[in-house]
Amino acid sequence: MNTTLRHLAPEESDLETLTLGTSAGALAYVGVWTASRLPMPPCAFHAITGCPCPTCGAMRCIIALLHGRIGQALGWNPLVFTGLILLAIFNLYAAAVLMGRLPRLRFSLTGWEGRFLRVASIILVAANWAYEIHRLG
Amino acid sequence: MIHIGRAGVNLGSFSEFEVRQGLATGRFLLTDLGWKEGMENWTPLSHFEEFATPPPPMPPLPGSELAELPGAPAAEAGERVGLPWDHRGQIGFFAAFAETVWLVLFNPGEAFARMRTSGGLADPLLYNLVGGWFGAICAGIYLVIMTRLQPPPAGATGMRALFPFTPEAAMQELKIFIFMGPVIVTVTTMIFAGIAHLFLMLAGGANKSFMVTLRVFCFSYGSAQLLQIIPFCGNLMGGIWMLVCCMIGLAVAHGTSMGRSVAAVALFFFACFLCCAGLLVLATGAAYK
Repeated sequence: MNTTLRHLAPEESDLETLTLGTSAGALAYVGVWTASRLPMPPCAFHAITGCPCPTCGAMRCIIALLHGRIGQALGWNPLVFTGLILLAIFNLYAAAVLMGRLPRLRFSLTGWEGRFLRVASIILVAANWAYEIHRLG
Repeated sequence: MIHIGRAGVNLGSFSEFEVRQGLATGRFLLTDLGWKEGMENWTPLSHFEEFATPPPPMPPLPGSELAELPGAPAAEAGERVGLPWDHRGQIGFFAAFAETVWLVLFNPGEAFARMRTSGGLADPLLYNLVGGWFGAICAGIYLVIMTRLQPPPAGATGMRALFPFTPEAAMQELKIFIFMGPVIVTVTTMIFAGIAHLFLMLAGGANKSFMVTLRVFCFSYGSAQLLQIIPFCGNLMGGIWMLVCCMIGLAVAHGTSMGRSVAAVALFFFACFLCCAGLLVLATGAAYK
């Protein structure tokens, strides 16, 4: 893996601003939706098949995380939990980089590293789904 | 006539002049496949005798030195001409929007072959905002009408429980769509594009950056959301057609196979529409007691 620290090239996409802006927008949407007490359509996959989908348990994971119950959040959906934690860390990095006008962290993968990551991701999603079926099914 | 194809998508049939012009402007690439009567198989355009050698450059106009000026516009090899939306300064806002919608919905192969894959994101995001906001408001209005015509029964189970909106909740949602539309549309498209790009990477088809995927989603979502204007079934039609446009768009814009693109969009559909929708999960998760 080749890691570099550099400033954005002309016309290069500003991933940090995009991620931070999207997260802020999603939070605003969540805030308004919550304040309006609108209903949540249930999981269509679960309604049709009776089997939990790969993201089932995400809602309860978020509730537990919001209440600071880290262990419980991890138990509800480990993959969603990990994704949220990674997103929070990236947003902290993005805020620091944007406020301090610092160089951006960029990395590139070699061919076999990319293939390894691809296979590992598929295995992780499948394992997480198997766990959800075992826990919620 | 010469039939042109790219990444498993037939872009249509064109005269030799049109293909030559397309190669000069970047609409077509020498790596695109072509077929004409008498040929056994599709062949890269670079193997066509008529396109193998570029035409001699036009001699400079006597007395003119414009082409020699530094910074004078010059068409680079492989440059895409852009969608009509990119030329709205010349053809007008509404004409450019209508032409782009028509092109994306009814000839997505050509639309995404023309779509620029670099440059700022303001243009695609604005297009997405116009189409998406309009579509969201239409969907909200029809939901209000439907819930007033047939309110959901209390304690509904199974498939009927998938639509739990009361008339009051539907009206509240419409207000949110009206006042927060730009934020909702932009955030939703960003998240959708991000998830689809991850799946495209998993399928081994992400040959270009996330920004190209985001552009495909902006133009697909902004166009297909207009179908929400069709009462009651527009939501379904818009959703399905957006997925079709995305499949074709990702294959053409990323220069990958249609199989990888279909796999990525199918996984995206499974994750975002068949499972709990991400934003709604977050929203209700925070409100749940």
